[in-house]
Amino acid sequence: MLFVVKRSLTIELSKDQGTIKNSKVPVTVKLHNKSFFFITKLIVHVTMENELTGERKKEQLIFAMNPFQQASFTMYFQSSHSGKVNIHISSMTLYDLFGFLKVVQPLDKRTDVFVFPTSYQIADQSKVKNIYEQHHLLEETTQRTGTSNEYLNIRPYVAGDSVKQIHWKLSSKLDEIVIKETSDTKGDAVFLLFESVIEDIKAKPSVEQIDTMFELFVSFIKTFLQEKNPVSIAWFNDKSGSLQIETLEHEQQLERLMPTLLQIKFTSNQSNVLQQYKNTFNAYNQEVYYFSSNAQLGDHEKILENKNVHIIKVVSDEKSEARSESETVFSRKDLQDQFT
Amino acid sequence: MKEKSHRQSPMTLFQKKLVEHHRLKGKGLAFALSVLFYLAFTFYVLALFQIEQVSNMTIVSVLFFKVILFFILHKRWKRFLLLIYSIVISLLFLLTYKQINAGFLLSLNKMFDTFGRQTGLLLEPFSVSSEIATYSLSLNLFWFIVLHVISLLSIYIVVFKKRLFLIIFMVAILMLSLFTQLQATIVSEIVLLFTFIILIIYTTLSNKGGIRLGSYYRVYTLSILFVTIAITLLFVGINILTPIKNYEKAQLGQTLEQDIKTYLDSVRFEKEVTNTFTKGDLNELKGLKLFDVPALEIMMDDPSSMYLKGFVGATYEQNKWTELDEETTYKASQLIRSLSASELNIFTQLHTLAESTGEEIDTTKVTVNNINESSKYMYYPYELKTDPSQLPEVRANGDYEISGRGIFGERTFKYDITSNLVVTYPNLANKLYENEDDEALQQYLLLESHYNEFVYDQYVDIPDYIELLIENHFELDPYGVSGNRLSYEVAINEVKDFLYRKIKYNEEPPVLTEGMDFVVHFLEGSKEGFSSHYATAATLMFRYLGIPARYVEGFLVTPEDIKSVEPYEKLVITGENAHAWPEIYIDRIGWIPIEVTPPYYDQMLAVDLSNYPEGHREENIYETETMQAAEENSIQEVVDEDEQTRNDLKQEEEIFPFFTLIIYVAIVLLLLFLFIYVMKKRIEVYKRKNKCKQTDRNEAVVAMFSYIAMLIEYDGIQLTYGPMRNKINNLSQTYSDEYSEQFQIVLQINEKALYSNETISEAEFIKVNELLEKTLEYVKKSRNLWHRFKMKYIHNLY
Repeated sequence: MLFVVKRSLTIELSKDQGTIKNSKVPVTVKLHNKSFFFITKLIVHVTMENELTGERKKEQLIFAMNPFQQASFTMYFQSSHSGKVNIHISSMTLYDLFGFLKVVQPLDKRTDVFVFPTSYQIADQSKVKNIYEQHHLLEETTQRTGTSNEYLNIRPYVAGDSVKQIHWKLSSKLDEIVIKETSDTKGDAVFLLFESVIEDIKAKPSVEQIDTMFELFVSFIKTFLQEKNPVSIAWFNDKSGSLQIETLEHEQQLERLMPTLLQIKFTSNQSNVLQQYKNTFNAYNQEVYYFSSNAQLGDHEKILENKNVHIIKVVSDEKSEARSESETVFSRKDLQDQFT
Repeated sequence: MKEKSHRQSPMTLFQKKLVEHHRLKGKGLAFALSVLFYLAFTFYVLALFQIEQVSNMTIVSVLFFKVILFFILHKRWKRFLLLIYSIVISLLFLLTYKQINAGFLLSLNKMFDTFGRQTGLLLEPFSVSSEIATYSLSLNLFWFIVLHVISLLSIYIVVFKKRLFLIIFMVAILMLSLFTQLQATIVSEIVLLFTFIILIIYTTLSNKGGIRLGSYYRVYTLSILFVTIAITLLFVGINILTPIKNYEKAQLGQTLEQDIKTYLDSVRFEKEVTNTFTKGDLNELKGLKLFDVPALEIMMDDPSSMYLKGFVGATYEQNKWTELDEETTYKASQLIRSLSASELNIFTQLHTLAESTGEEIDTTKVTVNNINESSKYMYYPYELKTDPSQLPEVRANGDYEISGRGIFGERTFKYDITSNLVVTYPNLANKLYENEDDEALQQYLLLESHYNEFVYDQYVDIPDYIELLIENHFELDPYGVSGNRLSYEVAINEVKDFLYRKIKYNEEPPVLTEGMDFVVHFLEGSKEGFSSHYATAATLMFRYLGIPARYVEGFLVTPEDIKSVEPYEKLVITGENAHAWPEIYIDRIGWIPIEVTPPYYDQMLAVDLSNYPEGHREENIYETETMQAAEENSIQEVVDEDEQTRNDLKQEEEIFPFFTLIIYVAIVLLLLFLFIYVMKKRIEVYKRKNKCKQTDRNEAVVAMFSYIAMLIEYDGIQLTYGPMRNKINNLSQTYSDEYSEQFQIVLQINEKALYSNETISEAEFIKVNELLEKTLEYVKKSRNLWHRFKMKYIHNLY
C-alpha cells in the first residue's frame, strides 16, 4: 500500500518570488494523491536557508489526504531579515493508515524567496548624517577651489570605473584603458565596500549585524543614486574568489543587481575587501565607505590615515564606541530608533 | 498562538488561519471517542470475566463524570463541580468501603470462576463477609469506582493522544486473553477492535509539531467510514462462509496447538523412555515395548501390591482418550473441594469408606521417587489415604489426576495408603449396607451422592457408532428383561469373557489404518492387541452397560515384585511394569480397577468375591436411600449453589432499587445543575443584548463595541495587546478590507463615545450596529451546526 501511494503522489512547490522584510508571502504546495488509499500522515521535510545571513531552519509539513485528492495548500513565509531564502523540500516520510509503517522518499523541490531590505534616507539619520554631509562639503569645496580639469592621477581602468572618466586619448596611445582622476571625479566617485570576508568562519557576525550592515549598505547606495551620484560598489565574490565591483548610476540598476546582492555570502579569505580594494587601487582618491562588522581592523590603521575612508562598523553591542574620527559605530538599535 | 510564534521567529513558514472544522481538535470528537473507548472496554472486560451483575445504569452514570471534564468549560465551574464530585465519590467510598471491598472480592471470585472454567485451574476463592443479599449492590459500588478509573484512562488516551500507551494496553489485553484463554463475546471483541482501529487512526492523524495541512476532519470521517465498511464486510463475509455459531478451531490450528503442547510437555516432564504407552493417544500407539529401565523407586514400611494411576482418560474421541475438558475439570475441582471440606476426598474415597465402616485399617507409608516417568503425574494407588490438598508439591486436577505444581512437575512424593482395599471392596460394600443407619455412613452416603451424580454425568458417554458397534458384537442388552442395570459382578464377567473369547493378545498388533476408528479396527478388523486395546474396549463396554468407566495408564506393583522386598527397602519398578486398565465407578464405593487383559489376570491379587452384594438391589437402595437421607438431614454441609443463587437473587431484587434510586437522584441533581448553569449564562447574554439597546447611545455603543471585540477575539484575533494597527491588518486578512475599514470607523466612534462629551448620532449608532451584525455573521459563517450550537449554548456568544 505504502509503495503504491509513494509512487502515485506528486508534490509541487510554487515559483520564486520576492517580498519585503516582515511581510508575508504565500508559498503553495500542490499535492496530488492519485491512489485509492488514504494518507493519514505524510511528513514533508522543508529546509529554509537565507544565503545572505546564513540562517537555516527546518520545518515539517504534515498532510492528511483522501484518496484521489488533489489539493494545494497555502502557507505563508515571513522573514525579518533580508536575503535570498531558499525553501527546499528534501524528502517526505509517508505512513500507512495506522501510522505503524513508513517509507522515506528523497525529493528535490526548491523555490526561492527574495526578501528585499528596507532602505532608509541616510540624510535623516543622525549618526551617518555627518558622514554624508562631509561628502557634500567636500564636493562643494572641490567645486569652489579646484579646477576641474586638473588631473590628480592617471591609473589603469578597473571594473567599476565610470566610462566618463576614461582618458580616451591616452588609452589609445597606451593600448590600455586608463582613467583620469580629477578633483571633480574624486568628489563624484563614491565607493561603497561591503565587507563579506571574515577572518574566522566561526566568528561570523550575527544575523542582526549582517542584516543591519546590508540595509545600511543598500540605503547608502540608494541615497547616493537618488542624489544623482553614481556609485561603485564592491564585495567579495566567494565563487570567483575575487573582489566584485559594480558601478551603478540609477536605481533600476540597483534593482536588477539586488538578487545578486541578496546572495552575498560571508566567507573567509586571506585578505579582506578593504585590503583587496587597496591592492587594486593604489591611490585613494575616491570617497570610500567601508561597511564592516569586524572589530579588529589592525592593518587598516594605515588606510585610515586617508581621511577619505569612512568606516561604518556595524556592531551587535550598541555600547561600542568609535575608535577614531573616521569610524562610525552602528547598531541595529540605531537603525530602529532613528528611522522608525 | 500561531500568529504570535511567527512574529517572534526571524524566519517562519506558517499557516495563516486554520478553519476549525478542518482540525481534529473539536471537543465533541474527543468526547465521542473517549465514550466509545470507555463503553467498548467496559463491556469487553465485563464479558471477559462474565460479570453480569454490573448494571447498565452504573456504566452510564459514570458518563456524567466525562461530561463534566469535557463540557463544563468555565474553569471555575469545572473546578467547583469536580471538587463536589470528588467529595461525593470520596464520601461514597468512605461510607461504603466495606461494600466496595466485598464487591472487589466478589469480582475477583467471579474472575477466578471464569478463569477456572476456561482453564480447569481451581483458584481458591476469597470469602466475602457481606450479606449475600447485598452482593449486587457491592459489585455495582465497586465497579462504579473502577469505571471511573476506566473513564479517566479513556480520557487520557484520547485527549493526550497516547498512541503507544493504547498499543501497549491493547497488546496487554490480547496477551491476557491468550494466556488465560478467556474469551469475551464476539460482539464485544469486534467493537473493541473497531474502537482500537479508529483510535489508532485518530492518533495517527492528530500529529504533534510541524505545520498541519489538509482536511483532517474529512480524512478522518471518510477513513473511519471506509474502515467500518471494510470490517463489516469482512465479518459478514466470514460469517457467510463459516457462521459464527458453527465456529470451531481450524483443524490445522488445533493440530498445531496440540503438537506444541505435546512438545512442551515432553520438554517439561519427560526423561528416558521406559515404555511405549502414549497417554491415551491411540493414533500413536504402535507395538508394546516395555523396557527394563527404572521408572519409579518405591519405599514402603509394609510392602503391598497396588495399581499406581498416572494418566486417566475420560473422553474417547477421534482415537484418543482425553482428560476432562477445562470447564468440566473446573466443575469437578469445585465439587471435590466442597466435598473435601465435608471430609470426603474422592482421591481417598476407598480409605474414607473403610474408615466410616469401622474397618481395621493398616496404614502404609509410601515414598515414590519418579526416576524416568512423566513428572507431570503423582503416581498414586486407589488406596490413597493422604489428602492430596495436604501435599504442598501437588495439585488435584478435577477428579482424575494429581499433578506436580512445579514447571517441570514433581518427582518425589510421600503419602500414606491403606493396604489392599481394591481387593476387599466387596467386603466394604457389604459392611456399608449392613451399617447404613450409622451416622458416619449416612454422612458419607450423602456426600457421595453428589459425586455420584457427577460421575454419571461425565463417565458413561460413548459415541453413537461405538454404541452400535458394541451392541452388534456384545449381543447383550444392557438393561436386561427387568429393566435394571446388570450387577457389577455380571457386567465385569461379561466384559472380561467377551474380550477373552474374541480377542487375541498380541504385543505387535496390525497397524491402525489411517482414517479408521481404533475400536472399530480392534473389534472388527485385527481382533488383536495388548492392554491399551483391551482397556479401551472394556471401558467403552462398561459405559455401554451403564457403568461409569475410565481408561487408565500407570504401573503395577505386583505381589511378585514385593515378595522379597523388606520394609523400607527400595523397590525399583521398571518400564516392564507399565500397564493400561479400565476402572469403573461402583456406586457408593468408589473407583475400582478391573483387569481385562488376559496375561495380567493373575498378576495382581484377585478380588475377594466371597461376599459380593447383588447389583440390582444396590441400585434400588441407592436411589431411595439417598433421597431419604437428603430429606432427613437438615444440616446441609454441601451447599446447593443453584438454590442459594436463586435465593440471593430474590433478596437482591429487594435491595437493588435503593441503588438505582441513588443514581436517579444523582442524575436529576446533575441535570438540575446543568439547567441552572445554562440559565445563568442565558441571562448574561440577555443582559448584554439589553445593554446594546439602551437609550443612552454612548453607553450602547461602548457595550456594542466590547461585544464586537469579544466576537473577534473568539475568532482567534487578539485585539487587547499591542498596537491596533497590526490588528486591523489581521482583520482585513481574516475577513475583508471593507470590514477592516468599517472597524476603523467604529473604533473611532467608540473612542468618541468613551472619551468625548459629544453624544453619538443615530447614524453612528447604526454603523456600530451594522458592524456588530456583520461580525456575528462572519463568526458564524465558517462554522458547522455543532460549532454554532457550542457558540450559542456553551460559549454563550449570542
